[in-house]
Amino acid sequence: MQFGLVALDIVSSWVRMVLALGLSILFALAIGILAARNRRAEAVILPLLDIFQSIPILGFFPVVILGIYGAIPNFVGANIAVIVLIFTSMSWNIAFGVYEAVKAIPQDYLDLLDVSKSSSWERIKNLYIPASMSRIAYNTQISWAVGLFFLVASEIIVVGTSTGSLQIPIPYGIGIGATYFPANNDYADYALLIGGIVVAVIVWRYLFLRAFALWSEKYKMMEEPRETHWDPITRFYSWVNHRAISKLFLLTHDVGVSRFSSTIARFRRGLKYAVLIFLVLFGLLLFSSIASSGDLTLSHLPSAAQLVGAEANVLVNLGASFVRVWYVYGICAAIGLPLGIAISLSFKLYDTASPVLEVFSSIPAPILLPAIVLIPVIGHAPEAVAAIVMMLAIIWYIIFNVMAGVRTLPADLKSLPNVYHVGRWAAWRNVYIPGALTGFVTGSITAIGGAWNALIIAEYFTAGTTTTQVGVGIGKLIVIDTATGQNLSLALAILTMTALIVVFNLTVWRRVYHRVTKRYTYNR
Amino acid sequence: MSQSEPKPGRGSPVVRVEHVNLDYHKEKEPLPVLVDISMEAGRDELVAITGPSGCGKSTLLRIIAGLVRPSAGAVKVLDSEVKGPREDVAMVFQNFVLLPWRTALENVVFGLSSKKDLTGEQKRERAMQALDVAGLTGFENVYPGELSGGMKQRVGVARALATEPKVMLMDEPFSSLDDLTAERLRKETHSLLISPETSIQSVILVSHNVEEIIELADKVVILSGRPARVSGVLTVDLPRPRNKKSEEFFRWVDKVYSYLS
Amino acid sequence: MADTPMPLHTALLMPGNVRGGQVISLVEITGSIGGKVDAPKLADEMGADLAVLLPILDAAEMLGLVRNEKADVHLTELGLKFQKTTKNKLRVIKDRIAMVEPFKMALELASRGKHITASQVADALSEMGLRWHYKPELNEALIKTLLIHWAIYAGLLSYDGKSDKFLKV
Repeated sequence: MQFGLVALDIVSSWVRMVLALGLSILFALAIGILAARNRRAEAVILPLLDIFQSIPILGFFPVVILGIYGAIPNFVGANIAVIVLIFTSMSWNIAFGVYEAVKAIPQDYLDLLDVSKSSSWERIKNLYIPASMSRIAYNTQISWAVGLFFLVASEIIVVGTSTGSLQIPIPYGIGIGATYFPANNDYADYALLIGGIVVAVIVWRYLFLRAFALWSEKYKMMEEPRETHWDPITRFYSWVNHRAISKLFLLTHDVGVSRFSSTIARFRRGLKYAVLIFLVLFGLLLFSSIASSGDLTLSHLPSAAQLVGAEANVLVNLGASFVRVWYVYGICAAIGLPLGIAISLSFKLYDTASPVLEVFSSIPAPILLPAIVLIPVIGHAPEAVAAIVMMLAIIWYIIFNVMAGVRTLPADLKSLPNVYHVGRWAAWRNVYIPGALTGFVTGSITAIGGAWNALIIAEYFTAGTTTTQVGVGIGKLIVIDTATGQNLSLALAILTMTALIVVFNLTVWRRVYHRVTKRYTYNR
Repeated sequence: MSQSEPKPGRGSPVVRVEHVNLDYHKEKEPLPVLVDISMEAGRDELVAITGPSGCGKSTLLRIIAGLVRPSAGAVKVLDSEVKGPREDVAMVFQNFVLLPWRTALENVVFGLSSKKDLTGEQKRERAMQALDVAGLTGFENVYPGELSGGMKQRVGVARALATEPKVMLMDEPFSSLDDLTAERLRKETHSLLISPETSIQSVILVSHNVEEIIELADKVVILSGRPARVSGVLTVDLPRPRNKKSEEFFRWVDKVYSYLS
Repeated sequence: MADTPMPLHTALLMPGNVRGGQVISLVEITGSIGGKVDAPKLADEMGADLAVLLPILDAAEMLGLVRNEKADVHLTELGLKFQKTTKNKLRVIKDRIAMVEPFKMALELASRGKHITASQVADALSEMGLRWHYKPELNEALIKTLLIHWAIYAGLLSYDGKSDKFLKV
C-alpha cells in the first residue's frame, strides 16, 4: 500500500481547495461589499452572480484549462486552472452571503460611521467585514462540498485531456489518484484513497468548517432566526436551498426573496448589462482558448450553414442530455422521497442512518467512476455508468431536504394519523408526503442543477486507455469539442445549455416552487 | 345497550387514571416526570387538569390518549385499558394541527379515515354535519390558511366531533387564540360538548388558565411539584352560566391558586 | 378634474381587521350589561384596548347594530334582535352587510352566477379609489379575508378554495 502517495494526493487536493477558498472569500468580500454599497454596481453584479450560479460551470472547464494552460504551459498554469475552476464553483455563493449580510446592516450602524467620519477602508475593516463573517462561515460549508465535487471532476478532466502530445503536468491529487490506481490495477490503494477522502472530509468538516462557523458566531450583530435544534446536516442543506431558491426569484418581480424586493426594478435594468458582460467574458475565454491553439485568422469565421449545422447537432445532444437528467432525477426522486420520509419518521432509523448517509454523501461522486466502470455488465453500459454517477452526485439533495422537511413538521402533526387511526397509506398521502413536498421541491431544484454539472464528467470518462462514453450528450460533446478544437460547436453548446437552464429555472421551476410553497408549507 | 341494564348516571367513571408514573430515560438515569397520578373523569363531566408550565399536564393528556405509554400504572376508558390511540377518544390540539394542504371539509374527512364502514359520501355528510355544529357552515371548501385562529380551532373541534368519540381530550385549546375569540369559543364549549346531542361522555381539558378552568370545569385536577403529583382535586359546584365577575367565581379562582403554589 | 369630486365618502368601508366574531362579542357584551354602556367600560368588559375596540364599534354601527353617541354605546332594535338570535347571527344582518364594501362590489360582480376572484373585486374597488392597503397584493389579501370572514358567514357568497373563486349564493 502506498500510504505516502495517497496522503500526497489528498494533501495536494486540499491545498488547491484552501487556496481556492481564500481566493473566493477575497473575491466575495470585494464584490459583495461593492454590490451592497453601490447601487450601480448592485444592478449589474447581482444578475451576473445569478447567471454564474445557475450555469453548469463544469461545462466551461475544458475551455478554462486549455486557455490558462495555453498561456502558462507548465505545472503552475495547470494548477492555476484547477484552482480557478474550484474558485468559480465556490465564490458566487459566498459573494451572495456577503452581499446579504452587508445589505442587512441596520441603518443605525451606518449613521454612526457617518457621524464619526470614518474612511472607506475603516468602514470595510470595522463594519462590513465583521458583519459578513458569520455568513461567510456558513456559506463556506456549502461551498466546500460543492468545490470538492469540482476539484475531483477537474482533476479527472485534466487527466482525460492529457492525451498524445498534450500532457498537462499535475502529478498529485485525489482525482488523479482515482484514475491512476485503477488504471494500474491497484485497487487496494484506490480503496485506501476513497477511505482517506471520507476521513479527510469528515475531519475537516468538524475541525475547520464547524470551528469556523462557531468562531464566526461572535460576529453576529443581530438576532437572526436560529434553528439551534437542527442537526448539522439539516442546517447545511437549508443553506444550500437558500441559494437554490433565491436564484429562481431574483430576476422576477412577483414573488421575491423579500429582502431584495426593493432592488428588483434596478435589477431588471442591470440585467442586460449583466448578460452583455457575461457574453464578453465568455468570448474572452473562447478567444484565449483559440489563441492557445494558435489559429487567429478571420478566414475561419463560420458560414451560416455551418452555424445552423453545428447548432442542430448541439440541440440533438442537449435533448439527449435533458432526457438523461430527468430520468436520473426521476429515479432519485422515487427513491429519495420515500426513503427520506421513512428515515425521519423513526428516531431509531434517523440516528443510525444519518451518519451513514453523511459518509456516503461526503464522497465526491466522480471519484467513484473508476469503481463503477469495473462493475460487471453495468460497467460496460456507458448509459448506466453515467446514470449511476449522476445519481450519486444528486440523490443526497433530495434525501436530506426531505428529511429536513419532515423533521421540522411539528410532533403533533406527525402524531395526527395515530390519534385518528389513519391507515398507513392515508397517512403518507395526506400528511407525510404533502408535509415533505416543500423540502422535496427545493431539493429537486438543487439536484437538477447538480445533474447538469455531473453530466460533463459522467457522459465521457477516460481512465488509462479506456474511455467510457454515452452515445449522444451535451457533456460528451463539450469534452470532445474542446479536445479536438471545435470552437464553434463548443461555444454554441455552452451557450445553448446555459440558456436552457436559466430559462427553465425562471419559468418552470419558479412556478412549481411558488405553487408548492403556497399550499404545502406548514405554518399554523 | 339493553333495557334491563341500569343507565349509568352522571358522574359514573368514564376515564380512570390509575397510579400512573412516567419516567424519562436520560443517560440511563430514569428521570421521574409524573408520580402516582390517579384521577377520574365521570359521565357528563368536564374535567380540567392544571398545573405550572412544564409540569407534565400535556404529557398526562397524551398518556390518556394512548400516545405515550406510562412507565407504570394504567389508564382505563369505559373499563378497557388504553394500550394505544383509540377510536372512541378524540383530541383537540393547542396549535390546531390541521393539514394546510387540505380544505376544512377534507380535514374533517381525514379524521374519519379509520371508519371503514362508512362510504366516502357518508364521511362527507358526517363531516358537513360536524362543521355545521362547530359553526362553520359555508366554510367547507376553505383552506385552513385562509381561516382565522378561532375558525381553525373550530375545524379542529369539528374533526374531533365527527369521529363521534366518547371521550374528548383538549390540550390548551384556547391558548393560541386572541382574548375575544377565546372568550367566544369558551362560551360555546361546555354546552356544545356536554350535550345529549353528541356522543361525548367526558371531556378532559388541559389548561394553565385558572379563570378558564373555573368557567368550564366540573372538576379540577391540580398537579404540582417536580416530578408532578396530584396536589388537589376540586369539584366546582358553581351553577351555569358562570358569572366571571361574581365573588364566588373569584373565590374558586383563589382556591385553585392556593393549591398551585 | 377638481370640479367633479369622487363620491368616496358615501361608501361604507368595512375596517380591514374587524371580524364578524368581534362584532358579535361587542353586541353580546353590550346587551348583557343593559344595552347601554360607555366605550371605555365596554373596552374593559371585552378585555380589549380602546384602540382595538374602535374599529369594531365602527363596524357595528355601520351595520346598524349599535349607535355610538359621544362614546355612549347603545343597542339598536336590530342589535337587540341580533343579540337574541342564537345561531348564525350574521345571517340576520345579511342585507346590511350587502351594503358595505367590499361586499357590495363583490355581490355586484358575482350577479348572474359569475365566479369571481378577490383580485377582481380589488381592481374594481381600486378604480373607485377604495383601497385597504397601498400595496396591491396586501390589499387583495385583505379583501379576500374580509369576503371569507363576512360574506361566507352571512351566507351571501360561497367560496371554493381550490379554484380560489367566490360565487353568489
